[in-house]
Amino acid sequence: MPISYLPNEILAIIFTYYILASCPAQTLQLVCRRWYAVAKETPILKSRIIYLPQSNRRPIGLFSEFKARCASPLSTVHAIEQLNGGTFEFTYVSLSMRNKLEDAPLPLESRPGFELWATFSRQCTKLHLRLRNYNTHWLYLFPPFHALTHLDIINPNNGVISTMLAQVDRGCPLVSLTIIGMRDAALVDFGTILHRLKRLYVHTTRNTALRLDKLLPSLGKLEELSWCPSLIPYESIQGVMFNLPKHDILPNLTTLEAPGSFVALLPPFVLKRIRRLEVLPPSAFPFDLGSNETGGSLIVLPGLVHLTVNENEIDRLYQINYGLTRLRPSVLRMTGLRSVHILLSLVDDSKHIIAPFSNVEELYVEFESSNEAEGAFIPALAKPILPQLKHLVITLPEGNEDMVKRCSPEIQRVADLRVEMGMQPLITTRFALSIDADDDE
Amino acid sequence: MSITIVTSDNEQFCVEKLVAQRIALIEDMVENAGDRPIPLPNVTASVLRKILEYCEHHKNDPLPPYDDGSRSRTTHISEWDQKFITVDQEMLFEIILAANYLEMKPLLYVRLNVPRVQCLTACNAVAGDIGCKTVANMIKGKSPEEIRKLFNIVNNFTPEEEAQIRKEAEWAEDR
Repeated sequence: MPISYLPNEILAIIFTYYILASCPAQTLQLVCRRWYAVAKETPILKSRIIYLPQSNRRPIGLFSEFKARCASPLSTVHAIEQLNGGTFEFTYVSLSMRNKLEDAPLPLESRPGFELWATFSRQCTKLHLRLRNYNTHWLYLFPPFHALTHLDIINPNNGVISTMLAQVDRGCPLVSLTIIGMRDAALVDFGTILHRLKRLYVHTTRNTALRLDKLLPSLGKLEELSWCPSLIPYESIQGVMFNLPKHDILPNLTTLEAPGSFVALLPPFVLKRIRRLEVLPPSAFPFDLGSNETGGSLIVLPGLVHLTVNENEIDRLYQINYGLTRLRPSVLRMTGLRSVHILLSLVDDSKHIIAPFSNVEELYVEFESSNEAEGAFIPALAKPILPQLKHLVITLPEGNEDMVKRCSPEIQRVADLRVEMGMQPLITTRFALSIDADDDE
Repeated sequence: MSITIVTSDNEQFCVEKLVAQRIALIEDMVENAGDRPIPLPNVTASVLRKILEYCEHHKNDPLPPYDDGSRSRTTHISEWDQKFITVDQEMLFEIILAANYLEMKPLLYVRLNVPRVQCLTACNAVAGDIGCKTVANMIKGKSPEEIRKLFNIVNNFTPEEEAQIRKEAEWAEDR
């Protein structure tokens, strides 16, 4: 009898004992897809999170109990079971706030002699703030942080970013900063924080004009940048790229998520280091019209390994003859595909000497309709295309379980044909549903 | 007083009722079966023999307290239990499955007249404990690849998915 015969609830018990022995959760998640899914649902593996109820329903004495139980990760585990069900998440090292916490401000707990928040600010390394309304005056009562490495602020209103960064700007070893829904440009005033960052995710919701001439020289250590502005300041970016010294512009950047038009504006000495690129909408300008040093010639990303594009971008790339670009990803992810014909047209270009798909070893395609995958895409794979492909994952909309079963023999037939044609054997051929319920377990 | 249990491979076991009552499923069936043999279609003779050996050894153990958070939650296994569970992998998983199916529980709950729902909470933990602890100990300190090899598990991640999981883990791990 193999271990796969054990039901999920027993695997979860095994995982619990494993974690209680202070073993790393990540090991379990990396064994196989089933173990990953079970580990995700095992309470103790949920990041050692304690849930605290809101203040008006908070049992008397809960915080003192909480403080005692947070003395060690192991005792924190016990607290999980007893404090379950609130809206306020606290882990031994990280805090995540969401839902209606805005109605449960901190002052109640920040009275003299109450040390919870001081303890928290000394220990917290990861903080995730998901704000839902404008009643966030309690944020101003946060004590300074000492150990924060990751900070996420979702939907901040005016003043929140300055307030939080001021509490971090005192020697915190912050390496990752995410701001989603940024409404003001206060970020650029915190140069000492920006200088330390390895990751920066900034998504603005309205025409927030960031001073790129101040921002870019501060990002000397940045390795990952996700920049989704509501407005691409084309002229200003060009000016900044022209005026700043080369070594001041993102010298360590390897991962980039941005609209194609922004990517096109980056100079070649930045692009040559990019290994992972996700093209985000909107794309105000064609992808290949970058004003780089070669005077508007095609974008070159010689180090590119991972490329993610969504359907709109694929369409755009196709219109400008994607086959002539120089992108050579070995991992390609295409999301929101409405028409497989665009993809197949691109694939057919593989006869071209600089075809973009010739190096693809992993392909992830997400269709919005199952018909396209079944009727066109899978049969097309029996042609001599994508010669290096080893891993194929097709994601379909929810409700296509029948189709997943129906197509499995066809996928196998296609895989056999590809081997007969001398192409790389397919190691992984898998369907997934967009609800993340795979059928291969 | 004793009862007769028939396993899936048609072997009959004559078991002292007090011992058999440690197994919740059998206790339920005894009430309905009267003097007739109790069938266990999901348990083989070799597995039931091991389970009865465990019940016999622990029949006088005190009832673990209802799970009030104070129960020891370590992977420690007593010396006798350790010897008991030193079996091949196949038998180990069969014992775990059978214990789960049989809803094994400590005998004392019957004597103490502990409410059934409360007892089962404690007992299910007992049933899973030794086998699950043993599997947890087997994977302790091993890499994902070593665990796959140990249990003959196929790695069905793509390289990209594996990389993504490593990245996701950053928020969950202390560092």
